[in-house]
Amino acid sequence: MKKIIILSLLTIFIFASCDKIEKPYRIEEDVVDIVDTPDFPELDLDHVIHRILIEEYTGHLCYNCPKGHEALNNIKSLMGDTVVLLAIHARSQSEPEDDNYTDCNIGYINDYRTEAGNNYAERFVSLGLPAAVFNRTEINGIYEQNAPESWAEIVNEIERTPADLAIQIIPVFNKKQDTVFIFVKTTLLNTMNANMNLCVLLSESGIVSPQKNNTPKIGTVPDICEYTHNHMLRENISPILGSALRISAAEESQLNVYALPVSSKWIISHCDIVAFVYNTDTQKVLQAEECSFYTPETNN
Amino acid sequence: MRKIYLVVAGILLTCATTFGQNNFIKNSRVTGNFQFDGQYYIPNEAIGADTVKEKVRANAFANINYTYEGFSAGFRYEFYKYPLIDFEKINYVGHGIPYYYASYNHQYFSITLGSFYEQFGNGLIYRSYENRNLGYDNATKGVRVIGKPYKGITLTGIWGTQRNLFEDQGQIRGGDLDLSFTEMFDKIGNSMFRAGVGASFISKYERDNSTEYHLPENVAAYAVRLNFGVQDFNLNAEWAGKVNDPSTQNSMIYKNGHALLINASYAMKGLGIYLTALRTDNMDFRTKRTAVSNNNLINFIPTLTREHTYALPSMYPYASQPLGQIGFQAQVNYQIPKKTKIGGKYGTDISINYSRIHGIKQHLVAEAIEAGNDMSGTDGYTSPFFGFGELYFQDFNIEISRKFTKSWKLALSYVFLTYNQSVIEGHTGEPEVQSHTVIADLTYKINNKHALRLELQHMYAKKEANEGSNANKGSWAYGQLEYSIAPHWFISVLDRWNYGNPDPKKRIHYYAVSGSFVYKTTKVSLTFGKQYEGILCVGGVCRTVPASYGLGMNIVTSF
Repeated sequence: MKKIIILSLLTIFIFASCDKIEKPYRIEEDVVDIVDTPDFPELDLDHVIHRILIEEYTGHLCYNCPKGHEALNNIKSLMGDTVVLLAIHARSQSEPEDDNYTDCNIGYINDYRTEAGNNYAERFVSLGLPAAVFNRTEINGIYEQNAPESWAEIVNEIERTPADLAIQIIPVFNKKQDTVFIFVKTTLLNTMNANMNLCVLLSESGIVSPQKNNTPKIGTVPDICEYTHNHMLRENISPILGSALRISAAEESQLNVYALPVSSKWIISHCDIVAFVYNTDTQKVLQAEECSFYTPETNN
Repeated sequence: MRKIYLVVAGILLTCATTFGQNNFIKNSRVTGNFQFDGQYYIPNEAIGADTVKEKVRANAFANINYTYEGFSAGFRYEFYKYPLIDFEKINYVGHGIPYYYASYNHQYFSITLGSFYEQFGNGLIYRSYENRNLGYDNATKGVRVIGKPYKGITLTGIWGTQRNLFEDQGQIRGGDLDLSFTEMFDKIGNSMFRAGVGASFISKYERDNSTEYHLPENVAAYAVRLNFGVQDFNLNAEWAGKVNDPSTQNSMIYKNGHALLINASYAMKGLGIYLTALRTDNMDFRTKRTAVSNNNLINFIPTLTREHTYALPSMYPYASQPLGQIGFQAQVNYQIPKKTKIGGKYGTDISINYSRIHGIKQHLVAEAIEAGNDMSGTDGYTSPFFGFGELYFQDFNIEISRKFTKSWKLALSYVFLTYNQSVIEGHTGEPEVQSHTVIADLTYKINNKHALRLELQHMYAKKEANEGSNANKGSWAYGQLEYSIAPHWFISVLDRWNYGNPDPKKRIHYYAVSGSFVYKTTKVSLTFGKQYEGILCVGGVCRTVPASYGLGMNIVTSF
């Protein structure tokens, strides 16, 4: 009898510890049912800008990183919205530190690392910080570029071929669910026979917290206690490696919808949505887009 | 962290309260070990060794264990706050007491609270272990109960969270039943036969927070195994399965996973034959769906290939591919008897080893084809059991060693490797490496205390005209001379020369000079030289090793 009880308990334990998911595995349709799909403005196909995504790998304990931030700010002010910036805090120089490591009152207590950022850093960065990755393209056999003084030249040398695709982003706030639904429409401008993924991420600017620094002309050395961090990756909205695009013919489009519960971890009016499409075989980013998270509803 | 200190304080308090008892002191035992690995880094542009701002980095850890009769407790303090750059690159950065335990062992049961290492069967569904060189430690932290109700019957249950780097993540629970018929039944135990079976089960829990997929929050894996032996012959087989487990690693597919491992061996005096076969299909099993690299691994899929100890062939080790691989390994060890014409006075040892591993053939399911060959959110693919895909790795090697006189010993080896760099290292588009290596290892024992060892190696690898940072680097030559004065001193000089690199600027000498001093259970070593950028694998689990140059210090002691 004892054996039967033990075996029964084991069987219950085994089956209770396993979820078998039935088809369909995707739930995109469920999200669309909650809010109405917004009307996307018609694309002016002749004037779609081919934007460059610059991922800057950085950390608040990285002394050279303010130099990197400055280099990218200069690039952004020169090139405007033809570049999309993303500051990814990753690796050990982004770890929180105890208070006695600095003279700043609040110390390096914040952890700005994200699962997505750690994943990307693992794949694209092997040398030190700061590191910039331009359109996830290898330059001289390596993705990361570690000298901020060379970044402007690198951006200038990137060939601005006409865009192969366009990305449109519309966030819709659903007050009832305290969730923002992000509608992303990808339209091919040319036929594309490539395996492509769409990545959608949340970035935040205006975050004030300490930053190590060894460049006196940028700020106090060795700590800038009230440093403003911009374009910081806060969370992945799509899966980390993106959602697959199943379109290939010119003018074909695909709508992806994502739900992002509003969180007190970030100030929503300071946030942007960054979306980019990359070739999963070569990793090369084919197009990037950025959209302010601010909507009248989110500000209420 | 506070909890850890409370547990440690609790253990010490328990000890202290009973300290007055003589018996307690007499039967108590404290053991431990300490290791320090430090390096002074010198930047070297030619080999790609970066500037390390702190100049000096180090890893250090110490284990302290206490035992009193059936009770044992212990902890390990690790200081990797400013670690060697190898470890920084894999994010093994932090310090504290990540490992602590208390355990009680009885004749019929054993209970462990805190951290523990455990393995079910061959580890196909669950193995928690550590390897300090790899920077790998996935200790389970929770509770483990082992019951031994009858001779030959072992029941193990575990429940806990998993160590990943310096954090505890995920939730795993499971059990294992092991039946040894050899121990249970005297009739079998006293015969020429040995037999046993086992079964295990593991489940992980992870919240479904996806807005794109319906994800399983509880994912189970299970395995059954068999051991059988007749006299000098042994057979061990294990089959494992895993239910739907979409993850970053498997491109979010819902296909079930499978693995089969078969080991067979025959050993008699002077002859040993070993055969191993392995097939894995979607068996990457982690506590986090988004984990990559060596993070959050629950199971261990072994590699079938020989782990070369000589420097040049070990540059191209095989990294096990849980997502899909099929292959086998065969090895024959034979000793030509001593005092024969061919075997010589001391006999001659010959070892021949061959391993070959392919990917598995995959046919995409209809939904994936309709979605433009995108497997995510589908069952992925089907795979015929004996469907061999592209070649991942091949290794043929032969080693002949012979002692000629009391003073002279020589080992000669030849290694042929085929290495699919794009799969094993994940560098898409990089060419396959084919290499031929010959090795001579000569030892001259001057007297009972003094010995000299000379190692010469040459690897021929076809030059590939490519610009990739990790591409085939052409041919290499290697020489090492060691001098040992037993039992305390050891000195070595070596040079690894990439003379065949297609880029003349990269035909670099990676030299190193090292010395060690051993006193009782303490060893202190110093090494000065250049470290080649490569890949380090132990048991098929690998990490990259960055290039470095400088002075290294290693201290190991135990008490």
